[in-house]
Amino acid sequence: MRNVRYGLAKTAKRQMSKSVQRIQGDLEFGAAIRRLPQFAGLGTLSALLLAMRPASAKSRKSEKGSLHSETQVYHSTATLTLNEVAVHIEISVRDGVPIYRQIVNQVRYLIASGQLAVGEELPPIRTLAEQLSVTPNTIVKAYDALQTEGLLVKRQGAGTYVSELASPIRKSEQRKILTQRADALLAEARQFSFSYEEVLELIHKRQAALDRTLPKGPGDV
Amino acid sequence: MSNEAMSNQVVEVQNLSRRFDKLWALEEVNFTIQPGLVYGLVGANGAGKTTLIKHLLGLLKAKQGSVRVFGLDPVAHPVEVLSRIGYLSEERDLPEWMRIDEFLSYSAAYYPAWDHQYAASLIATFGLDVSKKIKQLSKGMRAQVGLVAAVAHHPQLLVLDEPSTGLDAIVRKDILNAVIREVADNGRTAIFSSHLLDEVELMSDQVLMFHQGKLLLFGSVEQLREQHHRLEVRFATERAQLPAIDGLLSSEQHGQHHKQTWSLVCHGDASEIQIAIAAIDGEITQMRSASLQEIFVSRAGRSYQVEV
Repeated sequence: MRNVRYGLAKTAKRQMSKSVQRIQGDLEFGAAIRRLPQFAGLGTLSALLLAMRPASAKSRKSEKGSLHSETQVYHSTATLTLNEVAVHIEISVRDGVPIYRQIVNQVRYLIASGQLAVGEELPPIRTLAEQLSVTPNTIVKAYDALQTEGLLVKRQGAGTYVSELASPIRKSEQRKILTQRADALLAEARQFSFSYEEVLELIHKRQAALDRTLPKGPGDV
Repeated sequence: MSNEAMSNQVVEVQNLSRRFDKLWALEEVNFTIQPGLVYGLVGANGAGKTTLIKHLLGLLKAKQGSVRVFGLDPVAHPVEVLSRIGYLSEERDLPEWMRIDEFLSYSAAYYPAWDHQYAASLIATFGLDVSKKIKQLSKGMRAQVGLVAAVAHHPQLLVLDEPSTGLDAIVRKDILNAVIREVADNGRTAIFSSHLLDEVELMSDQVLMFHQGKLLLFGSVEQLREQHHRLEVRFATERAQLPAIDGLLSSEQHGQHHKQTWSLVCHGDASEIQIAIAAIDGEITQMRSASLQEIFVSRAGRSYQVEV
């Protein structure tokens, strides 16, 4: 059951990442949004989009004096195997979002999308820090933030788990994510001088196209 | 243990200056290091990183200013200080004529806290043949042996000078993982210098940025990034140069055919920068916090080229 659902999520991911790449080709996605005063400081979105990008971690050459090569992009990926399902966390120093925030956003997304279920254990701090090659304090900070939000619980000396509270929160998290997407779409449309009606028309068209490729809604699996 | 009660700070450097002939290797350097965090030391070659590390280890005596490690002067109390430090030097100057096992038991003799089991598990993880002589080892293997010697006594302070230089990704990861393990499991403190700024950005809680002997920036990675912004700015008309903008650190034009667009790195409050750009009729097409690499290049890049 989980595997099937995950497979679908992957399809959605692939489609999403294509459109994201298209947008990024012209203009950095987050930037257009952050320019608008009501979205100042919005960094979560690009991190979420990053979570949906296909894993493309590139190893870099280490050579002395590389301070000046500007094209390097440092990605770090962790693949967590939870209940035999592999999920990815990917961070990037070029994202402009603090590393711990990138982790918070991706774990939140994994919970909202059901890839992390209630009661599931998260990797120990050291394990995740080693996989991502980040200072352990970054993981501590991310887990603390998620605990404050009520999405994770720590059991004394026994690890970190997805909280019971995450279940009712899930729907609202999903809504939050979709709201951010909608805001991003609208901001981008404004940047390109598309009218609201044109955006609506586009959504109708895309829905029709989606209906043709996916005979049933994602909930029917 | 009473020393820790006296001072909670792992390292305290006050007004430290050091001159070699006429060149200031360190100039009026001040900072403190708190336990349980990872500190990244960045700067171009010759910025003063290694000179600073030598002061921490007591290999150089502070001539101006003071250095305290665990509340002690490392030159006056070498045994107390060095027994609690693990050090991986940039040159990995190991005794060439020794076998790995000889070198490790030689090192173990210096440290009462040497963890033989941990050392053996690291050797096994790295797949090292302990009967080999050090002179037969590759660069990566040397780094691995040096690392075992640096961490096997679970030092309270881990000092790594350019641990990633010249190593492949796998050995680099071995070293980073050893740092992560000491910090995560034992709450230890680590200082590592590196010219790989992306690595520093991920691995550090706090960054010390040196340039020409001066401590240019000191703060958490997040603080530094919040204070520095990278912008793409478009102007309605071509511009040969930019008017003065408060907080502008560097500006760069895009190619010959795009004199209307500029890349900027600015320091300061984001909204004030936006206002300043609007005041000179610039349109911001992109704005995000700058990476450590961009911050460093914008602050030190100009003179980096002429440095030795």
